[in-house]
Amino acid sequence: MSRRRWLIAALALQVALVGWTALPRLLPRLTGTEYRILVEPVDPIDPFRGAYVDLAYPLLRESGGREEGRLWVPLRREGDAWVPAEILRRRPPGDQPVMRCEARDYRIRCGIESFFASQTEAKRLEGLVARGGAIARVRIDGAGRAAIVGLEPRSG
Amino acid sequence: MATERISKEQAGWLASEVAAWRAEGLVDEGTAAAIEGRYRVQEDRRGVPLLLFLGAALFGVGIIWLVAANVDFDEIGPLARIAGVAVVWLALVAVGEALDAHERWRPVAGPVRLLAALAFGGVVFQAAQSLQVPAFAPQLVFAWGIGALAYAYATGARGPLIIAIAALAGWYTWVLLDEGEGPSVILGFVIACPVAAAAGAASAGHFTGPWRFAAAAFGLLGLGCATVPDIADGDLPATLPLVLGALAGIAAVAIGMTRSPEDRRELLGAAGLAIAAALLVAVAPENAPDLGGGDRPSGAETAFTLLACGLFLAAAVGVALQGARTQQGSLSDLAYGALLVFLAVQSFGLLATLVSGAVLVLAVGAVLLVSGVLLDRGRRRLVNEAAG
Repeated sequence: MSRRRWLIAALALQVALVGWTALPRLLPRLTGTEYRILVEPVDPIDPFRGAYVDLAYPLLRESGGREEGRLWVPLRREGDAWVPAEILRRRPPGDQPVMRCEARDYRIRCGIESFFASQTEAKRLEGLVARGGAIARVRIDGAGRAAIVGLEPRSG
Repeated sequence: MATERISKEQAGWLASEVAAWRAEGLVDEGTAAAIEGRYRVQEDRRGVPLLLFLGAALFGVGIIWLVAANVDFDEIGPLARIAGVAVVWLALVAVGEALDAHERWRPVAGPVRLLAALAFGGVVFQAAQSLQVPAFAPQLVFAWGIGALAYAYATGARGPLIIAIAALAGWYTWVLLDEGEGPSVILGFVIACPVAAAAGAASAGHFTGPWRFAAAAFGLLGLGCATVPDIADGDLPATLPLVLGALAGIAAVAIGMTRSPEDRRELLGAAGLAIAAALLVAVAPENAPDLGGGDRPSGAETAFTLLACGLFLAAAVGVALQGARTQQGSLSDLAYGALLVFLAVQSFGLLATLVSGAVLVLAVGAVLLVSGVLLDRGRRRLVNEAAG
């Protein structure tokens, strides 16, 4: 194979790697249904990606001594938003929205725990949450993968 | 007649030698002029590549920093941000290729490719930021490292290789510290030593140095941790990733020795270092006193400390010698740095309860001096045998 082809192969691999890291959040964005879930944020910094709001969801804040591994979290409606209903080891039957999550580092992670924003926006969101909570707009695809697409004040 | 470029120092040496040959009547004036005519003094521009690489490295770090700063351009939108960084990355790849195609501009291609490898990291982090991939995700650093590695081998550029090795080493350390405890972290570090050494042996000449440095760094780090009973204390963990890692290490050494027999000694040294660390983990005394605790050690702890220190000193001397043999100064610097850190740690550790700090420094200095004298005697004997 010529040098140019090796370079094209390397570039294709690099693009595939970017896709690989982003795919679990991209698929639900493109194909998922949107739900508004109650949220409680805090605000740290990622060294490579800057300011973000660290989000905790009712029931999902701690893994409660659960063994590390795959979990399923069905949602139930509560007023104008959705909240995690329970934590299960197997995917429940039925057509209610379900998130595919993981018990890791004493927390339950569903891929929607960070919301990246500019420094000023992160500060505004932090204040917003301190004043009475926020709603995360989350898209969930058929496989239960979830991606956060927005954060807004909780009405009422 | 083809001329070869030589440094100012080499030209000075050649001129004095040719003058001596003429004085001794070994060469006539014409021959002397012809010999000197074969060489041309190269302009000393060592500072230029350094400046270019430093500038490229800083600029590349700036791109990633700019991504991390997440500046207030919310009206641009997440996809436009990804597209913007991706355009910069692809433009740098294209510029690197264009520069490499012209002899005159080739020296600049290296720094530009280094910049392209850093910009690729910017693309990975920007994509993850725009799509809200959860924070502190080690797979992003892994993707950056693998991508930079592919780019380095496709272009034959050393800068992207250094970025790739640094990113992969960072990812590997991150995952090890996240997932494992003392003994498994130590074994994880030392398994990386023969794997990196084999990658160096299997690579082209100018790619060997960075791999060799990574191998030595992981080996000394792992062995250094294994000398501290607090860390090494515990059962030899036989988890699946470690068993697979150990098998990968054995396979890498076997393949490396087949492909590059001249690196046999180096590969065996790396494997020996990994085995030494595993041995220390296996015999580490249980419930040893804490580092700096000052409790009187038991006989088993004393024996462990002396064995651990002997193995670490041997490994550090081996790395320093390898640096001298291959004329890779960074390797010798790494060995000296590791020795200093080792001395600092051990002066608070078990060794400090056996001997005072001053005696410890004297003892290590004496070991190094004796090693140096013995090695020099061995070298002289070899030279004499070759001459005789």
